[in-house]
Amino acid sequence: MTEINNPESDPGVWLKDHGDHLYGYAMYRLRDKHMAEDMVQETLLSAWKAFDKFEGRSSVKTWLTTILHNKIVDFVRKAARQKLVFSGEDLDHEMPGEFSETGHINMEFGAKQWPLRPDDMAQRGDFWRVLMQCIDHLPKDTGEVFRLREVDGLSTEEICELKGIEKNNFWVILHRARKGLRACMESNWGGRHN
Amino acid sequence: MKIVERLMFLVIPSCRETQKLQSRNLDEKLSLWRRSSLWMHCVMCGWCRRYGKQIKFLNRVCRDLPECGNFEKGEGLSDEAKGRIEKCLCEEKDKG
Repeated sequence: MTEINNPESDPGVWLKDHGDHLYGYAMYRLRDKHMAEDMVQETLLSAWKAFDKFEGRSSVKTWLTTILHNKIVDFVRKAARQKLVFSGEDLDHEMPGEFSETGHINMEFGAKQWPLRPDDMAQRGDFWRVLMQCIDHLPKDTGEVFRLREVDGLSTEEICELKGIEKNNFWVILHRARKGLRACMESNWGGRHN
Repeated sequence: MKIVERLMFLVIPSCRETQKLQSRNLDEKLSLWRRSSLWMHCVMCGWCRRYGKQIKFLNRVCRDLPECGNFEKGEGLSDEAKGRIEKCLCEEKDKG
C-alpha cells in the first residue's frame, strides 16, 4: 500500500514538516487549541488512509491543507448555524464625506495606486500576515460572513440559509467587508510601500 | 444640456452604486444592463476602476489563504500535542 521508506508518504514526516502550518490554519479558523489539534490529527490520519489516491499533482503541503480545509468547512457548516441580526445602521456604514451628494467619490477617499503588481504583492513575506490581521479587524459578524464566503468557499445560498439572512443583506454585508478589507490593506500594507 | 446630464445619471451609476455592483459582480453574474452600466462608469472613473481591481485581487488571495498564509509563524503545535498525534499515527501504521 504505502511506501514507508519514501519520506513523502510518512505521516511522521508530514507532522514534522507541515504540522505547524496545519495547526496554525486550524487555529485561525476555529480559535480553539484542542479542536485545532484534533483537526490536525484527523487530517493526518485521513491522509495516511487515502495516500493511495494522492497522485502527486500538487505538493504534500497543498494536499494536506485541502484535506484539513474540507474538514474545517464541514465543521463550520454545522457550527455556523446561528442566525445573525443586522440593523439597517450596521449595513449602511459609510465614512463621513466619502461620497458627494450625487454619490460620486470624493478624491481623498479614492482607491490609491498600490505600488506592486498584485501577484508580486502576494510574494512579499508580510502580505499574508497583514491580510489575516485585516480580516480579523472587520466587525465580528461581517468578518464571519466574509470568511464563510471567501476563505471557506461556501455558496451565497448556503450562507444565507445558515445565517438566516436575505440575499440583499448578504451582498451589502460582503460589500462592506470588501470595502473595509481594501481600506485596511491600503493603510497597513499598500500605502506603506509607496 | 441639463437633460443630457440627467439622462447620464440615469444610465451610469454613481461611485457609491458602482462599488456595490462591483462587489456583487464577484458573487453572481449581473444582468447585461448592469454589467454595461458598470463598464460605462469604469471607463470614465479611474478611482472605481482601481477599486474594482483591488477587491477582485483581495478576493482571489483570500481563497489562497489556507495554503499560503504564514501560519507557521504562530505558536505552533505543542510538544505534547505532537507526541500524542505521533503516537496515534504509529498505532494506525501498525494496524497496517
